[in-house]
Amino acid sequence: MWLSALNGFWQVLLAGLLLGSGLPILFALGVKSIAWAHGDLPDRAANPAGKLVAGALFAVVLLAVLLGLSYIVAHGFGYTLVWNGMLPSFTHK
Amino acid sequence: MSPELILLALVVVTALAFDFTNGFHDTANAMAASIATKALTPKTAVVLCASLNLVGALLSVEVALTVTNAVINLQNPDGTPRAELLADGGDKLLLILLAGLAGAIIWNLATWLWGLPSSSSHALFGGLIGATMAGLGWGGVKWVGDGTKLDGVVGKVIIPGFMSPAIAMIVAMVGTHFVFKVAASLSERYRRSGFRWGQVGAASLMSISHGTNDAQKTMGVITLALIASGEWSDTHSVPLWVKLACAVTIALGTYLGGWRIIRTMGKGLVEIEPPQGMSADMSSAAVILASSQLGFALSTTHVATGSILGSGVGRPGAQVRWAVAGRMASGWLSTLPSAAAVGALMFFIGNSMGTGWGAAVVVLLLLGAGVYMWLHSRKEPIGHHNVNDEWEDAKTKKDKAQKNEVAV
Repeated sequence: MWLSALNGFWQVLLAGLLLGSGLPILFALGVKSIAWAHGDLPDRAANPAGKLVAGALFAVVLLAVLLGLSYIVAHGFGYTLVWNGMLPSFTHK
Repeated sequence: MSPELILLALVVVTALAFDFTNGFHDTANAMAASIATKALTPKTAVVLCASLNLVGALLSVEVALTVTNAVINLQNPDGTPRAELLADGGDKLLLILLAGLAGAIIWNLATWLWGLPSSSSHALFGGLIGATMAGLGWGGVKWVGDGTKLDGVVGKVIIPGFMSPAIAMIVAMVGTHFVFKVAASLSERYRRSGFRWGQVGAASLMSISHGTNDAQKTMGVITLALIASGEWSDTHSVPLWVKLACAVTIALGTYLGGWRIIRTMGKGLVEIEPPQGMSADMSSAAVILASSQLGFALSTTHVATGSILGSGVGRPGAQVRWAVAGRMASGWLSTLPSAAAVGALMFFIGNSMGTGWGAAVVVLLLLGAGVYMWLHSRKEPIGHHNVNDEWEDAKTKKDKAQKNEVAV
């Protein structure tokens, strides 16, 4: 039982670091890119490319949030999330 | 109305009362950071959180009938009550549920009064464990399961109880650290408005997830009581009125807002800046959903407080009030045993008077304790008007009081 506890600990910690630390960092980079596009960074000139970068970063965060939401909804209906290769899909529990 | 029906009605009403305390106790988990960073006004935050809890609770069609099976032996694996507990018409089982719920509510109210974010699921499990031990003895409790996987009180409650704050703390600490590195060159305007939406998004995810998880527990307990008294027999579904009642009750509780707890989490632990609030909330949402997917039972409350604490450790120059964190940790440790003690006491009192009168006395005691604690809370009311006021340590408060005395 202690082993499975330790196992659970590592799995949750890894997933947490990937999503829970990774997504805020991407979001912060997105905010910074917007500041870049508007020329509001101290050491860089304004560059419209910042908007593109920001859009891509926010899209990744939004996708993750949507995945989280569909996970909650699917769980409510008795479905669970499985990974088919790299693509998430839902199957009945 | 027959005595059996009255007993059943008392259990159902008490279960809904627990659901209500579950709502306001946990508003802070999702919303404390957003309120503290002013990403949302206090009133908008509770309205949003309550609506999403309602949606979440209604969304869940899965039956959480076996929710108590993790910690106590009242039910068969399919969710029906064990045969020997039905011999007396289910009276004893109903009294155990009633006493357990009363223990959980009293502990939830006490920690709310103290402004401590304790786990409502620990309180519910604690109350039921105590009442079961009082009613059926030591063997009524499932301590470790069969030892092969994480099960029982130790595997499903105690081990995750220690691990979840640690995991959330590490995740939020790492996230906050790098977010502040990235945000270092940003002007105040970007910091204030830029991180708002990320924070509200993560808080919303937590609210809806809370609705699906926590309302289900009360639905499971009520359905178990209905089956025990022969009013319901389907173990694959929950009566519609139970579902609606639980969903509406948890949403109302959430809307009431446990302001005392929101204040401790949002202002007491550490001053929260917008980028930090976003990191903390995203960390909580990610850890909760990841652990649920991996089948690891975590308490939302422990995760949310761990995240806020971690975000304080990770932010350069932030001052964490470790005394407040210590009080919280002692609240976590004491929740299960305290709720169990009250649950057991309630069962002994109720049982000693015979099931009928006993149940009524348990409910009266619960009401008395509730009114007493509510009156006590009015001495120093905390609401949406003062939830974000400057935090005063116990010491400064005392100094002020002394100064006032001298002035008088």
